[in-house]
Amino acid sequence: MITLTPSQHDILKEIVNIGVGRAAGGLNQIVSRHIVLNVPEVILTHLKSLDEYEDLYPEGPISTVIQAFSGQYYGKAALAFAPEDSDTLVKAITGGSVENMDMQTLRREAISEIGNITINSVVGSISNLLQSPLDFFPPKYIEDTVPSILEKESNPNKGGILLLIDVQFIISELQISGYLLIFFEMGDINVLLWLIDRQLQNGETEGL
Amino acid sequence: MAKIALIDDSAFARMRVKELLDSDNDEIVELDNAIDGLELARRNVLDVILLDMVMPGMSGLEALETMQRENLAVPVIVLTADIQEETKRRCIQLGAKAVLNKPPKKDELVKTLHEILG
Repeated sequence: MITLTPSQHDILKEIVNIGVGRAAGGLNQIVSRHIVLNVPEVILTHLKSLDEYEDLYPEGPISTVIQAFSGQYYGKAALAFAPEDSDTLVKAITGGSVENMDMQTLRREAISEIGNITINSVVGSISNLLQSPLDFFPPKYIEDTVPSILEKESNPNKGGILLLIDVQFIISELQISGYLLIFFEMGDINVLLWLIDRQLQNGETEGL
Repeated sequence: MAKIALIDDSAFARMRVKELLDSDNDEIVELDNAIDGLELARRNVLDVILLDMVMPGMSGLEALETMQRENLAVPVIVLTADIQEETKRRCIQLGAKAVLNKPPKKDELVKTLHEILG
């Protein structure tokens, strides 16, 4: 069992809140609709224990953008939408058709870019506030179930840790929700928690 | 008439930026990789480059490094989803004229282009 101290949980949740707020600003510009945010639920769990949280993510295949990042710690972040939600979202942005692109290509391109903006906003906020720069890798688009994606993109047998951020970007007029998942291996999450503790010890939390 | 290279591996991102520019007066050259963009920069046929950062093959930062090393004088506006202050600092250090976060705001993008193109 991995646990966060109340202070770690609080600071992580607040950093995520800031990042999600930035991401909502970007999404708002793209979809031209108000984005309603819920208060993100931050859960840190072993990947092997994912079954306990299955009500927190969509059942069945999802449209997912995954982007890896690397610096003092390495991880991957994924933004996921149910396929019907991703189609609704893409149609809302583009009107449903774009010259020289079929719907499948359009969905992959549009969701990838939305994922890129959202993931960078959240993970970039973590980097900025913990003063620990990260390099990002190109985003990758996948359609699969959450457990299968996590199994393929991480290594549960090597102490895979999931930072499950159940943040819903509710595009109110469209009834669309998105989910953000960030996953690390054990050594990397320890570095992240050490950076959080360093911020807390230094009292450098004014921006939070 | 300005010749603008729009370098981004995402066709969707290029489409969005073209919509924002909405210009009949300028020629916009769409490229899905930085290597082709560098070739145009070397031929000195561009007035400005709009450059994404995270791309397969050659990243935007690598392209900026190459341009600085080869003294290529084409002004670059970086368009990136990366909001990190360190990324912005590195881009400016490598000669980028401006760094705008994705999705760019139309007025900010147009104003920055006008400032560069004069």
